[in-house]
Amino acid sequence: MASPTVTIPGRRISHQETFYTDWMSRGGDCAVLRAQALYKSSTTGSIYISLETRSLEDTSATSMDTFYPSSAPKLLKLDAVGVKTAIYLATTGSNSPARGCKEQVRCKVTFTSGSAGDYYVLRIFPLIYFDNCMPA
Amino acid sequence: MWMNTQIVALDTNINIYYSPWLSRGADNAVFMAEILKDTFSGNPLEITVYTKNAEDEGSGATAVATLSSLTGGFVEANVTGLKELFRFGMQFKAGAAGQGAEFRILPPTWYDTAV
Repeated sequence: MASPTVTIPGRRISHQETFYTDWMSRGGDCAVLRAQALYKSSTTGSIYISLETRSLEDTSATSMDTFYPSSAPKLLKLDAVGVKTAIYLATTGSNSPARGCKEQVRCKVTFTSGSAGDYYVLRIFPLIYFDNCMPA
Repeated sequence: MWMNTQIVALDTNINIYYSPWLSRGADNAVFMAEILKDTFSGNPLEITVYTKNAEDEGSGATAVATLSSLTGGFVEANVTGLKELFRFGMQFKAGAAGQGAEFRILPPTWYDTAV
């Protein structure tokens, strides 16, 4: 129907697994990250999805903090079937962890807690990029 | 993206203004707007999603969701089962003429049901 709507079109992630997407060029200083848990086979496990960023010349990644959710852990947490949103909002200066996107971004996906044999099926939607239109 | 838009109340009635009808990009979508400023002292700005099929006549349509607050001016709604067309309705009530709001609507996340 539409042009591709997903960055990861549906993937199983198992207990204790961590993986990264490829680096992608940013489309703006700020970003909206959305993901959907399609299936959950875990009582206590959660999926943590966070953004990392770097400049083109960098060889290491910088972790990023969300504007929303505003409380720790500042990332996208999936603990039930459904769609969740996280907002990354740049400020006028630089921050550590970063609040705004540098030249490249990627997603870090981690299965947290749970027990052996647990898994989720999830998909990550394309990032929505935007710029601040007022000082933040 | 729907760039910054300013609405100024000319009276103290309940007013609603609609965007044009737009084609859906998939069956479901997450819509988000950023309300940058809102000085309405009657009812604050409320953004609602409407949907209808292309063959349907008239401006009346089904309201499927109202964007609700996330944080810091960001409002969001996850809408499933959209018809062929959708649009936004911006409703507000000023306490006095001259009050207004500034907002922008971010690109939606389009997705089809996977399971």
